[in-house]
Amino acid sequence: MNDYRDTRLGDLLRRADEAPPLATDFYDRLWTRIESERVGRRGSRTRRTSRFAGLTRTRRWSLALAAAAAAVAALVLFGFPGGDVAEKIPGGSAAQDPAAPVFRGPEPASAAEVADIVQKALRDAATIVADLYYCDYKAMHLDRPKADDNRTRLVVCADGSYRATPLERLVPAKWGDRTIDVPGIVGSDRDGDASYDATTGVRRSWGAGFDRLMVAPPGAYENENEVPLERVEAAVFVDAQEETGCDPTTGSVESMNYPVPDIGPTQFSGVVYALRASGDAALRTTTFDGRPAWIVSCPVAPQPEAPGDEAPWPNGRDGDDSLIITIDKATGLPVRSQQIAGDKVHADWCLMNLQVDVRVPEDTFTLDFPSGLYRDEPASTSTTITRIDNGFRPVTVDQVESAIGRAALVPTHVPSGYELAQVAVKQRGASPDDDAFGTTLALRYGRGFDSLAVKTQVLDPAVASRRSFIARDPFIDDSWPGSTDARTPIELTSGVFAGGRGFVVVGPLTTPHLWGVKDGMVLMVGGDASAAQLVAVANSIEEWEP
Amino acid sequence: METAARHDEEREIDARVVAQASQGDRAAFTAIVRHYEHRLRVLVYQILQDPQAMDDALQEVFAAAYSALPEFRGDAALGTWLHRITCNVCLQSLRTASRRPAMADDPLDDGDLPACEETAAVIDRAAIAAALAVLPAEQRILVLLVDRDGYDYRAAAELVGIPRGTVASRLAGARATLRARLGLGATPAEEER
Repeated sequence: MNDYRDTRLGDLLRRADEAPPLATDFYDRLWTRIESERVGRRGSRTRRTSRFAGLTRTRRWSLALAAAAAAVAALVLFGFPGGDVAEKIPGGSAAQDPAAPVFRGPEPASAAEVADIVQKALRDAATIVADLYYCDYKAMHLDRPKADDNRTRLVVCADGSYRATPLERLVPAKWGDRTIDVPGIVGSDRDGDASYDATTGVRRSWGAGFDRLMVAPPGAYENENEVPLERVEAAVFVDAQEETGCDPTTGSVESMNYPVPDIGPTQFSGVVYALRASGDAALRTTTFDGRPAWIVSCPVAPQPEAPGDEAPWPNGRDGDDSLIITIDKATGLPVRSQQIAGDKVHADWCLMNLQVDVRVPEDTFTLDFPSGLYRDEPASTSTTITRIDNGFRPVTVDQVESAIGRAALVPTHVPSGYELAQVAVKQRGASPDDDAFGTTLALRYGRGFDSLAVKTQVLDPAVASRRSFIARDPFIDDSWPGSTDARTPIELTSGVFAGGRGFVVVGPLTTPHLWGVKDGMVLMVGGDASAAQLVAVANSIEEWEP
Repeated sequence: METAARHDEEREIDARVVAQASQGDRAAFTAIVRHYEHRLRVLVYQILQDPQAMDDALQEVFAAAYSALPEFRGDAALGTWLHRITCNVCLQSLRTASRRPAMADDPLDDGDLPACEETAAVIDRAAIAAALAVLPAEQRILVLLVDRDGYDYRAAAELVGIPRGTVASRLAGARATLRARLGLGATPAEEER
C-alpha cells in the first residue's frame, strides 16, 4: 500500500518528538496495577477489557459484521463486482413492474433534453423517499468485505433536511437486564442513524454495536488477535454525535457524481450538470426497479491518479472515464449513477423504491438518541456522545451587522425562482477548523431541490496576502473528482467585489461554483445555476440596506 | 495489519522476548515496555497534550497490553499492536474527558514566513507543538500516525477505528492547517495545479 504521505510535514513533526519523562514511580504503579487487575479478573465474569483492549471500533464492528453476516446471509448481497445493482437488491428487479408509474410527455432525444426534465423535477419536488444503495470500487475491486456496501433508507427534503437510516433490520442486543434494538450491522463502522433538521441546524447520528450477538463463523478470526465472539461477554457500545451550528450551505457544491455514500439533498442536481455537459449524447430506454427509465453515458475528463487505493478513481485503468446515469421516467429524477473508470465500474449508487412528495412523519428529521444508554453504564461498555458546534448561528439579514460587526453582503440578483431560505453567521474562531478566517456570512437560496449558496468570509490578513490562496478552490478538496474540471479565470466587474479576481468552475463532476477575492474578503457562490448566472450573482453583491 | 509503521519494521523487539512476556515473565514485559515506551509516550503526549493524562494513558496501555499479550499471535508487528491499544486508550480518554487541548498562543505568524525550503530550518519545536495543538484531536492523531510515523491509510483507519475515506479527509484538513501555520505553503497537490 503506498498511500500519500506528506513527508516534509512528517519530517517537521519528528523534530517535535519530545514528551515529559515518565514519573519515577511509573513502573511501580504499573506493576501494582497489573497485579491488581489480574486478581480482579479471576473473580470477574467479563474479560472484555483484556481481550479487546487492542481492538478499534472498526474491528469491533467487523466482529459484529462477521456474526451478523452469518445470520443474515440470505439478505446480504455478495458477488457485486461489475454487476447490476438492481438485481442484487431485495426488491430490485430489471423487469418492468406493470403497476409502475408511466412517463407522459414528449420523449427526449438527448442528454441535454433529459437534463431539462431532471431539473424541472428537482425544482418541483418537496420530498424524496428512497432506498439508497451505494457501493464503491474499494468494495468491488479491492480486498475489502462486500459488506462495505451501503444500504440506507433516505428521506430528504428540499429545505436540506434529511434522515438516513441503515436498511439492515433492527436486532435485539442485551444491555444488562434489558434488551434493546440496534441496527443489525452489515457494513463496518457504520453510523446507525443520521438526521439533519434544517430548521434547527442540528445534525445527529448514532451507531451501535455489540461485541457478542451471535456465534461467529469458524475461521472468522484467523488473522486477528482475539477470541471467538461466543467467549466474550456481551457489551454494547454506542457512538453518538450531535452537531449544532451547521453551515446551511453545506453540500451545495458537492455533487452526487462524486462517489460518496452519504448523499445529501442538495447533491441531486449534480446529475443535471453531467447531463448538460454531455450535450447531444444519445439516450437509451431501459427499466430500472421495475420502472421505465432513460439511460445515458456521460463522458468525463480523465481523473487524476494518486498513490494507493485512496485515489478518487482507480489507478491503472485502461479506457475513458464516464458516468452512466439512469433517470426514472415517471418522476424525472435520477435513480442511478455508475462511475466508470476505464474498464471498471468505479462506484455505483442507486435509489430503489422511489417515492416523491409523500407525507413523512413530522419527527422524521429529529433523531432521538436511544434513551438510557449514556449514564450509569457498566465500566466495560464504551459509550460516548460527541458534541460539535460548527459555529454557525441562524439570523435574519437585518441581524447580520449586529452579529458579526459588518454589513451583510447580499446579492441583489439571483436566478429566477430562487428564494432566500437560510441565513447564518459565524464568528472568527467559532470552530477550530478555520481560524485562518474571520467572520462568515452564509446565505442559502432554495428552489425545490435546487440550492444556491452565497458566502462571504473575511480572511486573516496573513492568508489574504498569499498569492496562492486565490488558486485554491474553497468549495472542493483538490483530491476530489471534479477538482480537475476546467476552471475559468474571472474578474468581477460590479458590486462590492468589483475588481476582484477568481475562478468559475463548471464541469460534469461538480456543481457550478465560483470564488473571488478582494480586499481581504472571499466570495463564494455555488449551486444550481449556469456559469453566467453565478457571475451575475457575484457581480450583484452589495451591502444590505433594509 | 498488512503494513506496519516504518519504524516498527526497523525497531521491532526480539520475538523471543515477546514469547517470554506472554507467559508472564515480568522482566521480559518490562523490556518490551522500555523498548516501546518512548515512541508511545511521544505519541500519547502529542495526542493528549497533558503530562498527567499521558501518564494515566500509558499506564492503561501497558496494563492492557500485559493482559492481552498471551493472545497476541504475531500477525501484526508488536509495535503496531501496541499502537492500536494506544490509539484506543487515547481516544477513549479524549471522549471521557471531553477534553480539547487549550488553544496555544500561536507563536508563529505564518504570514511572516516565506513558503520556501529554508523555512523548515527555522521552525522550532514550540511552533510545531503549537501548530499541532490547534488541530482537533481526531486530525492530530492521524497526521501523527501517517505523516510522522509512516502508517498507511488502512492501518491508520484500523488504529483509530474510522473508515479510510475519513482518514483521507481528516488528513487533508490537518495537513492544510499545519502547513498554513508552519509556513510550508501549499500541499504538493496544490503546487502542481
